[in-house]
Amino acid sequence: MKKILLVLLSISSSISCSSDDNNDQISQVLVPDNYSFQRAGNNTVSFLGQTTRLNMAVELKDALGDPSKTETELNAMYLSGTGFSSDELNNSGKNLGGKTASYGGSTTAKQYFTDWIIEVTGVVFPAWNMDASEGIPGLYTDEGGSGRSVRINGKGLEIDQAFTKGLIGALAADQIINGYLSSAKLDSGTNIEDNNNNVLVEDKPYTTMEHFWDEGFGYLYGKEVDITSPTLETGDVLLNYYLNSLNKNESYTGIAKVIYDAFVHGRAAIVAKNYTVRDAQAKLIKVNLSKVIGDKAAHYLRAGVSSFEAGNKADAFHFLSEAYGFILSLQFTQKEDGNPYLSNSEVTEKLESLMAGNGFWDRTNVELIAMADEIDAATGLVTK
Amino acid sequence: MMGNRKKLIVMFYSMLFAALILSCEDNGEDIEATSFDREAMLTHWADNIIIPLHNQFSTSLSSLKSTTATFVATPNSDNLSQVRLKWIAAYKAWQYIEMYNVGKAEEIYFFSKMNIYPSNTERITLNISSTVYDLENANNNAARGFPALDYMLYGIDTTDDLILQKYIGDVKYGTYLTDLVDAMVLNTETVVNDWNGSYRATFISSTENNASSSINKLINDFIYYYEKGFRSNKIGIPAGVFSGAALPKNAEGYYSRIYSKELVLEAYKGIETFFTGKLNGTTIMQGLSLSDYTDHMEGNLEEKLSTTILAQFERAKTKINELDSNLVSQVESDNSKMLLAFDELQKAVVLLKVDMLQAISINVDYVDADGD
Repeated sequence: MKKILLVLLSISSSISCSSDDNNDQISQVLVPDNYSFQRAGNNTVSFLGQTTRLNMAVELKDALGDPSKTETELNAMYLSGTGFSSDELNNSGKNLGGKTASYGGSTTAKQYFTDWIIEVTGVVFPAWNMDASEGIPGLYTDEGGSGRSVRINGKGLEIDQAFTKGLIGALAADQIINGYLSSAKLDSGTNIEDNNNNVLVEDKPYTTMEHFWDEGFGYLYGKEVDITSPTLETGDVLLNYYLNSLNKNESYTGIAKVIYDAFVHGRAAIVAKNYTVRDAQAKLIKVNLSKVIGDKAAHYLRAGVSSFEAGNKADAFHFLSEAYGFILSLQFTQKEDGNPYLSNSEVTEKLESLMAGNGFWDRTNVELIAMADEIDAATGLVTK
Repeated sequence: MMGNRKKLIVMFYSMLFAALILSCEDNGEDIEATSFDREAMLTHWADNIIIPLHNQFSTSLSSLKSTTATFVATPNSDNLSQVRLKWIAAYKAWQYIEMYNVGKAEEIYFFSKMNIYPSNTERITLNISSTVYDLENANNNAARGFPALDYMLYGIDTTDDLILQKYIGDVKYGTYLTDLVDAMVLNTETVVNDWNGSYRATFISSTENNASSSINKLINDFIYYYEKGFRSNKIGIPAGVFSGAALPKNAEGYYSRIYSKELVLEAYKGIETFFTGKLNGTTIMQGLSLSDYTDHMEGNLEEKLSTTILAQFERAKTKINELDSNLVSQVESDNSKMLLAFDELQKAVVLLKVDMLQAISINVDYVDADGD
C-alpha cells in the first residue's frame, strides 16, 4: 500500500513539474512531508551525539551562573564532558570543547571560551554579591525598568551570556554550516561511492553521507521531542531557541519552515543520490541559519542602546553581553557567496573595540549604533 | 518568560488589538468617554480605595515598627511572636497597594524596595556582618523589604530558639532588622504623604486618555501587576512555568512557609477591590469602578465582559483555594495543582489585557521581556 502511494506521489510530482523544464532534477527526488527516512522499514535517522551536546550546553549555561562552581568543575563540563547531572551525559564520551570553532572562522576563537571559564570563576564568582562599578566586577541592579540584576566582570560583561551566545556560532552553527553540510564533509573519503551503492556503515541502517546530514540536522533539532513536527520550544539554549525567536519576527516569518523543508529536501536528495539538489538545499539552510546570528548580533547592540537611553544599565549590560557572543559567532556564518558575514579578524576587531577601556561602561550610544549599522551592512539585514 | 505558545497567542491578539485601535482611532472614543464621568471615577479611586488602603498599610507598618523596637531591646520568644504577627499583618496590607505604581511610588521605585523575592540571603548576611550598607543601592533590593524580614524572622536559623540566640548573641542582627523596618516606614511615608497631600489633586485632574494620564497609567499598572506581580511572581515562577524545573525557593514568604497561600488570596482581594471599586466588599459609590467603566465603554451587550472577568477571577480563586496553605510544599508534593491555578490566572490575563483594553481603548504600555 505504501509503495503504491509513493509511486503515485512521484507521478503526481513529475506531472506537476512537467511544465517547468528547469525542475527536471528536483522531480527525481522524492521529498517526504517531514524528516522521516527509512530503509527496508528501518528508521535511518540518528543524531544522539548532538542531542547529548545540546543538553550539555543547557547545563553548562546554568553552571556558568552558579558561584559554587570551580574552574576545575567548569572545565570538566566544557572540555571533558563530565560533571553533569546525569550519567547519560557523563558517560556519553561527548563534549562541547572538542566541537568548538572546528571548521569556520578561526580555531583561535576557542580560547575565548576557555579564558571565560578562568575569568568567571576567578573574578566574577568571588565578587558575586559585591557592588560592581567601572573596572570593578560584581553585582549590578537596575532601580527601574525590569529591575534586572547582572553579575559582570570589570568591563560590564556577563560571561555566561557571552559564552552561550558564542557557542551558538562556534558550536551549533559551525558544526552545521561549515561542518556537516559542507561538501568537504559530506563527500569525504568514499562517501559518494558508498552512498551511490547503498554501502551502509557497519551495523547501521544508514550510509555515512546520510548520517552526516542527520548530524547536522541534530545540532538544530536535537532536543525536539518529535522531529516530524518541530516546535522550536525545546528548552534548547542555542540555535533552536533563537530560530524560534527570529521566526516570530515579522521580517522573517516562515524562515523556520524554509530551513526545516530544506533539511527534509536535502536528505531526500541524498537518498535519491542527487548531490546538486542536496547542495542547493544545504546552501538554503546555511544562508537562512546565518540570518539568526546576523540579526541578533545587531539587534542586541541596539537593545543595549535603548536600555542605556532608558537609564537601565543592567539591562544594557545584559543585551550587550548577548551581542558580544553573537558577534563572536558571526565568523561561523555563511552568505550566498560562501563567505562569512565577517571574517575572524573583523570579528576580533569589533570585540576588542567593545572591550576598550572599561568596556561596556565606556561605550557610547553613537559607537554602538555605528557598530550595529556596520553589521547590518555586512549581513544585508535590517535591524533598525 | 511566558510559554512560547501562549506568548504567541497574546502577541497575535495584541497585534489584532493594535490594528483595531488604529482603525477606529477617529471615531467613538470621545463620544463614549465624555458621557462617563472619569473625574468622578478617579476621585472614587483616590478617596475611597487608594488613600484608605495606603493609610491602613501605613498604620500596620507603624505597629510593626514599635513591636520591632520592643523585640530588639528585649529579644525573647514572646516578642519574636509579636513581631512576626505584625509583620504578616503588614505584609497582607501591602498586598492591596503593590499595584498602585503611580506618583511617588513610581518615582522612588517603591515596589522594588518593598517586595523583591526571593531574597539574596548572602547579600543580607554580608550586610549584617559588614555593618556598612546603603539600602538605597538597588543591589540591596533583594536584601530589604518584606522578603528580607521573612528571612530575618524565620530563616536565619533552623529553629525559633536558634533564631532568638542570633539576636541575643549579636546586636548586628537587631540593628539590621531595625534598619530594614525604618527604611520601609520612611519610603511608605513618602508615598502616603504625597497621596494625602498634593498628589491626590494631580491624580484626579488627569482625566484624558493618553499614555501619561491617570486612568491609562493606573489601568496599565493594574494589568501589569496582575500578570507579573501576581500571576508570575506568586504562582508561575515557583511552579517553574518560566524555567526548566520548579523553583519553590522563589515562593513569596518562603521562610515562614505557612503564609504563602494567604498572601496570594489577600492579593486577589486587592485585585477585586480595584476592579469592582468596592473596598472590603462594600457597595459605596456604585457606577464608578473599572468594571463599570468597561461596561459603559462596551455599550449594551448581552454578556458583559466585566461579568466574564469576575467569573474567571472566581475560577482562578477556586484553583488557588485548592492549594496547600504552604505553597512550597505544594510545589514539592504536587506541582500540577500550581500549574492548573496558573492556567486559570492566565485566562484572566487575556481577558484583561486584550478584551478589556480593547473595549476601553487603552494601549498596553509595557512589553514582555525578551527571553535570554
